[in-house]
Amino acid sequence: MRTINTARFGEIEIEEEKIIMFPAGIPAFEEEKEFVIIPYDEESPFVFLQSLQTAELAFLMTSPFVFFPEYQFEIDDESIEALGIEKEEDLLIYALLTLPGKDIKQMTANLLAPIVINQQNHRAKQIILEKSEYKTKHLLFPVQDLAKGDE
Amino acid sequence: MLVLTRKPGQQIMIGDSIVINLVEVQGDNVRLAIEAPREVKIYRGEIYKAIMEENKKAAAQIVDIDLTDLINK
Repeated sequence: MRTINTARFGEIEIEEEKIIMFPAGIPAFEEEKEFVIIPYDEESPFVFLQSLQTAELAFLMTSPFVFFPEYQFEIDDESIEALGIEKEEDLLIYALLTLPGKDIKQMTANLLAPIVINQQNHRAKQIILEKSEYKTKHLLFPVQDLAKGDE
Repeated sequence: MLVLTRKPGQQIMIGDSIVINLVEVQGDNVRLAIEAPREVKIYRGEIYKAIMEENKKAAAQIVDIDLTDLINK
């Protein structure tokens, strides 16, 4: 067990095997190599990617396939090698979420740079889909859905 | 910073394993062919920058976030 400090959850204990290693860090956070995934709650598709090193650093993520069922991408050979990926079933895929203001409905997912985790060895990387059409901001709830919801 | 002038067909070598070939120049566009070892990742500068910016924004907002509205939708 390792005890870590977090801004959102206070002091928490995590099992060593729950630690996810980002050998190259995350773009703009290259020095952050160790994270742990903490579910937002039991039922939602949202999770936090909490840094072990920096209490204040946590990213909100979701499984992209819940909101974007058509989402697909190819992992480049270099990333396959870096993460030691052997089979697709070992992978966990997340998209980082950004909220521009206070309105939670404006939340966007970064589909251009998904987080890929190899559950076999707990190595992870934010992969940049250089050749894809995806962007850094995709609304989780397209505008027409919201209009319906307000009726 | 080193600034070089090159003509189409000429090369730039970085260390002994990276070669940048200037393929052609058409108006505003310069076409480059880059040879580099597999472990050297090459990105268009603006894409990498956009991801860094998005990651910073994503990291700046999380502590008090309340998703109750989204989850109950």
